[in-house]
Amino acid sequence: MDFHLSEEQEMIRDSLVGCYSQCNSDELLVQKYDREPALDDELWRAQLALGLTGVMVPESLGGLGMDLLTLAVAAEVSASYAVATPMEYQCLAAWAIACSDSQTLIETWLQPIVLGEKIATLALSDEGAEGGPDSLSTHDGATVSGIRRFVPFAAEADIAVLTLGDGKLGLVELRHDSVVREAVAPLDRSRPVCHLRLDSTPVVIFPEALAQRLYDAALILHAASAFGAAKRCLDMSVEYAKVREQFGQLIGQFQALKHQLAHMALDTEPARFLYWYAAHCWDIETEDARQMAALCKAHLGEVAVDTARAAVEVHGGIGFTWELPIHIWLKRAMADSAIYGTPARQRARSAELARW
Amino acid sequence: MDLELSESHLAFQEEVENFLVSNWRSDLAKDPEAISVFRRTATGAGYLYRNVPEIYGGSGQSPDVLKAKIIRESFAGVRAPREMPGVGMMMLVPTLLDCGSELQKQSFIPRTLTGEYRWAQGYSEPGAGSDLASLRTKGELVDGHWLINGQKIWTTMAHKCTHMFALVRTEPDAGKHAGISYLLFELDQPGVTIRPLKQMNGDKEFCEVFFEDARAPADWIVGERGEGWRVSKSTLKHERNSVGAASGSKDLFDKLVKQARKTTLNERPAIEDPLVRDRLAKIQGHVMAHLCAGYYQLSCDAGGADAGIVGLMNKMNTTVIGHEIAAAASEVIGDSNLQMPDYKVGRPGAEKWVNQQMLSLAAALGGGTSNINLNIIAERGLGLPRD
Repeated sequence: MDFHLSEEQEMIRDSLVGCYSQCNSDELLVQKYDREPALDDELWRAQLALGLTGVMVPESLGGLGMDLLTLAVAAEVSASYAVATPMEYQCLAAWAIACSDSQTLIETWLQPIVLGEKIATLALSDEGAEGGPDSLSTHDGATVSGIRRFVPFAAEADIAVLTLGDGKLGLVELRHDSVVREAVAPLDRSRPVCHLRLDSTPVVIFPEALAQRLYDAALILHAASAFGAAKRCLDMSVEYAKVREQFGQLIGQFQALKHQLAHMALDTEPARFLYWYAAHCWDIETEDARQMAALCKAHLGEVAVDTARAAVEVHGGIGFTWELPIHIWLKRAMADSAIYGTPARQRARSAELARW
Repeated sequence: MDLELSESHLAFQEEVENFLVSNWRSDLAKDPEAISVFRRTATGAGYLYRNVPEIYGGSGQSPDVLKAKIIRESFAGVRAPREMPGVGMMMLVPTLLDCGSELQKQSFIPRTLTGEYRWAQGYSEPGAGSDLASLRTKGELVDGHWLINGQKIWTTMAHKCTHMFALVRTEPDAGKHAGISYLLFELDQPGVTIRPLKQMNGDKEFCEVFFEDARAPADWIVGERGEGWRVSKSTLKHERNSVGAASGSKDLFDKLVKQARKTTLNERPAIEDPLVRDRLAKIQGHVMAHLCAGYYQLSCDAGGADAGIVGLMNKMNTTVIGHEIAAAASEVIGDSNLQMPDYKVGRPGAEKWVNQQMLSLAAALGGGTSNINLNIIAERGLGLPRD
C-alpha cells in the first residue's frame, strides 16, 4: 500500500515547476496575456525538450511508458502556471494512436506527434463516447461531416482525434480543404478554442473502441488542471493575507479571513488526492474507474470555481482587476468545470455509473 | 502508487482472519465474560493494545498503521470486540505512557485495559469552553492529599465511570497555562456529585460533575505541578485522530444511499429522483476526497512522513460531511422528519435519520468546536498570524 507519487513522477513534476517558474512567471504571464490568444512557442519547445509528449506511449514505441497519473500531475503543474500549450491533448492523442491497433495510424502519426513535428488536439463530444446532439456523423466510414464546438488549440493543430459516437474514434487532418476552423473569442485565453466545421472530411477510424477511455482520461486531466488553478488561487490568497494590512493589522489576523481561507483549504487540499485516485483507477482499470472519472471532474470543477471566486473576494478590489492574475485562474477553472460536461451533468453520469 | 497490500500484509490479514474464525462467534457478543476472555486472547496474539507495552497489559507491538487497519477492518467485519472504548483507552493511556510515573503506569493502565477502571474526562467548565485554559476548578495539597473544589461540565458518561482525569488549577499565582495540573481521582467518594444532563435528542450521555473537597492522593498527579497543560496536549492530539476517520464518513454515506433506495418519493425509489441523485453525488465527491486524503495520510504514517495540512483537516471534513448527510437525509425521508426516533420501542425506521441532524451537531462541538478548528487550520496549516 503506497499512496505516493513515485520518484520519477516527482522528478517530472519538479522539472516542470523549474521550467515554468522561469519561463512563465506571473510577470511574464501577465504580459503574455494581452497578446492574441495562441499556443506559447517557447513553453511548447520546453515541454518537447523534456520529452513529455510520449509520457503515455509504451517504451516499445519510443515513449516513456508511464501512466495517466504522471500526466495528470504534469497537467496540475501546467495549470498552476497557466501554461498555454496543448500538451495534455497531444499526450492523450499519442496514447490513443499508440493503442489504436492500426499500423497505418501508428506509422503515419505517432512519431511526428511524439517529436512535436505535428500538433494534435482532441475534439471530444460533451456526451462522451455515447454520442449526442453535436456528434459528428460518418456515413461511409471514410469521411465525416458536422460541427464540433470549442475544440482547444484547433487553430494551430495539424490533426484532431474525434469521438464519433458508439465508442468510435477517428482522426482527421485539420489542414484539409474541407475543414473550416471558426475562430471563437475564448474565455480562457491560455487555452484558445475554435469551432470545427467538417464537410465530407477524410477520416481514419480507429480499429480499437477507445473513445470511452479517452474521454475518461480527458475528464481526469481537466480535474487535475482545475486542482492546479484552485491551489494557485488558495496560495495567492494566503500570501496576500500575510502582507496586506487594514485597521492597523495584517488582514490574515482577522478571524473572518482565517475562516474563509481555512474553508478554501478544506475544499482544495483533500481534492488533490481524489484526482490522484481517479487517475490511478483509470491506470489499473478498476471497475469504478469510469464513475471516479466523472465524480472527480464534477468535484474538482466545482471546488476550483468556488475557490477562485473566494480568492477574488479575499483580495478585495484588486482581485477584480485585469492586472492581478487571479482572473486567469478563475477563467481556467470555469473552463475546466464546463468542458466535456458541467459538474451537475457529471454527477448525473456518476450516479448512472454507480447504478443508483 | 499501489493501493494493494504487500505479501507480508496479506499474510498478516489471513492470520488475523484465521484467528477470528477460531476465537470469535457472534453469539458470544452478549456474554461479558466471553468478551473479556476474547480480549485477553487477542491481546496475547498481538492484535489489541498494540502500543501498550506487555508489562502494562498490552501487546507491545511495533507501530504499523497498515496492520492496525487490517485488524480494525477484520474485527469490524465479524463484529468482534476491539479495544475497550472510551476516553480511558483513547486519551489517558497514551498520556500516561508519555508522561506518567512508573507507579501510575502500573496501577492504572492494566485496569483500564480490562475495563475495571472507566475514565471520565474533566476538562470543560461552565466558564471555560473553547478558552479551556481559563478553567477555575481548584486543587490544593493538604496533608498528603489534593483537595479539589469546583465544577466540570459536558463530561461524557461520568455517571458510568469509576475515575476522572482532570485539569485543575493548583498554582493560583502562576500564569493562565502555567497554573494548571493534571490530576487523577476516584469518582465514587463523598466530595463528588454527578448530575447527567438531558441532551437535545433525549439521551443522557454527558454530565455536570461538582467537587466539594473531593480528594486524590498527592502522587496522583501526572507530570509536575503546573505542567498539566503540556501533559493534556498529547491527549487532545489522540482525540483528534480518533474523530477523524474518513471511513466512518463513507460508511454513513453508504447507509444514506441504502436508505434512498428503499424510501419511496413521488411513487418511485428516492434514489431515482434527479434532485436526490445530484445531492448524493455531490456529497460523494466530498466523501471520496476525504477518503483519498485518508489514504495519503495512512501512506505517510506508514513511511514515517508528515502528511502536512490535510492531517489537520480530518475532524472538520468529518463534521461538514456529517452535516451534508444530515441535510440530504432529511430530503430523502420526507415526512418521517416529523417523528422522534425511539429506540426503546424497537428499531426505528427512516426517522432514525432525525438523530443524524442532532448528532452531527455534537460532532461540530466535541473535541474542539469547528470555529476553533478553523483557527487551527488557518494558523498551523496555512501559517496565518495568531490573534
